[in-house]
Amino acid sequence: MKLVPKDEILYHIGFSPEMIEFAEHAVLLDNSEYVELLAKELDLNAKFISDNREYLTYLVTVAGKKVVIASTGFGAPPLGIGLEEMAMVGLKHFIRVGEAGAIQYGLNIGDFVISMGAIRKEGTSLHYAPLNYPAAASLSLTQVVRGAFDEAQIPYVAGVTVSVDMLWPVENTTEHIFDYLNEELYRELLKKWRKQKVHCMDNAVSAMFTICNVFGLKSAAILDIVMRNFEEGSIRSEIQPNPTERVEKWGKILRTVYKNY
Amino acid sequence: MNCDKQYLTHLTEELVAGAKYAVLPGDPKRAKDLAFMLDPNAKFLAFNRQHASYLANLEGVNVLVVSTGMGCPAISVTAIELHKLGVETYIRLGTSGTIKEKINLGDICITRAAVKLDGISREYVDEGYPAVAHFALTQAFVDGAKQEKIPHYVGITASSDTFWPGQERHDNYSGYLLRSLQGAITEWRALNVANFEMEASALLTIAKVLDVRAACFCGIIAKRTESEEPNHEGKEKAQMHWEKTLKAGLIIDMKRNGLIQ
Repeated sequence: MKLVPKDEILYHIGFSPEMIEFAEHAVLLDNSEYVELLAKELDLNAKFISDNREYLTYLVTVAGKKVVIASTGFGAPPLGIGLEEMAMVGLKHFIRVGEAGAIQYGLNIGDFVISMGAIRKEGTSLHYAPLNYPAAASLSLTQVVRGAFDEAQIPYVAGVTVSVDMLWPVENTTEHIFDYLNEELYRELLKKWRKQKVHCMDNAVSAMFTICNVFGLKSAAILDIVMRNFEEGSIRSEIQPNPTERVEKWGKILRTVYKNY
Repeated sequence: MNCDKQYLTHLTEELVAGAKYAVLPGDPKRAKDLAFMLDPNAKFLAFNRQHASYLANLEGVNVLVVSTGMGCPAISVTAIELHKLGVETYIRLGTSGTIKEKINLGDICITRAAVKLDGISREYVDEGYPAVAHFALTQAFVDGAKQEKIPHYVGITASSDTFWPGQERHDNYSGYLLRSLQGAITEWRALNVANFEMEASALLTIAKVLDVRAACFCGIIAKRTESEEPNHEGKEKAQMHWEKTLKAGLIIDMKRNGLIQ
């Protein structure tokens, strides 16, 4: 395994092992707008580390552990780059906190899904392992995450996610020309995934699970539903997710995770 | 007028002011430099996640500069949002590593067509569908580079969903490369591929399907026949070269289309 010298700053993520005080834990967000909010929720003395391209990074101390809070951009490719470089600076345990679209009818906006594994419908993971290699979360870390939800009394569903490079199918209007082009295909896919007990759709966790498995590192994913994807057309939430509420819930869960892990 | 804010770029019809041209760098920090290089009175429009957007006016023609973030999914979503807002001409500008001995650091590599080492393009079209640039638009940048005496090459670009394994970087975290990727550079070079980057194949594919014009060109910041690492000196030269190529090429294209005298 390649580990860089303590002062070597990696090209994309923009930090070195000593800048993150040799932290081994990281929370990976899909939206840089939430990085500072979550960091300060977890630790009033959260430290800004770096801001380069999609990677906005803070360092916090939670339950005595140093934890990196970082955004990884849109989709699997920048997550892959981030993971490769974060592994080189010594990070070992990754929790993805991100948005997803519901596929199962019972899921509503604001519900949580903890991913056991994901369908690899993205290109990044294929550069690391053949398609039949499992994009599965780590057992120990995921079980601790589930325990944290139980302790916090926040309901969740544990299930399979599908990670797709393509954009979430949205309303069937001619504005969304791609959706129009692939309307029938999407309907069939959603039907199929629903039957296959796939809970929700995102665009990166299958790459994270695959790469961490190849690297021998730990990963888990907490997804919250921001959209419902149905065959007839998707319902993007009219309610803007409340950032403060979302961050409070994540904070509660993560504090318990790091206490127990 | 549609006042809906686009989900990721946060742009609206009003903000883009009817601009039909969009320049698409990957790095949000580069968007400002490019906009002000084209127009010292460029206007800041929006910033969300990886998308920094500016409106420049070049010789009387509105040109958007919108950063995309890294990777094919990221550039796809940016292009699709801009398409909904009426943009018809898309110019990707970025950094790249060359695998051809005769191409040097700082040179501009103009993409005639791309090898699809990405996942998203096959979600929309068959794998065999050509990711080919718009020739007349591309010619404008070739002519712009010639006019400004910028060393340039026109050729086939391989767009990868990863920075590390897909571009055959051996100095990676795990120390292993899939068998199909071992010797990838030798093979692509033998197939006359000039350079690696991470966005062109998706943009060119999407542009063909949406029937809009797209061109891609990059500044070479890594010379893979010598090193796996990006080179900082190369980056400075590349930046100077791509700025000149961009401005000259845009003016040539606008003249050819009767937008300016």
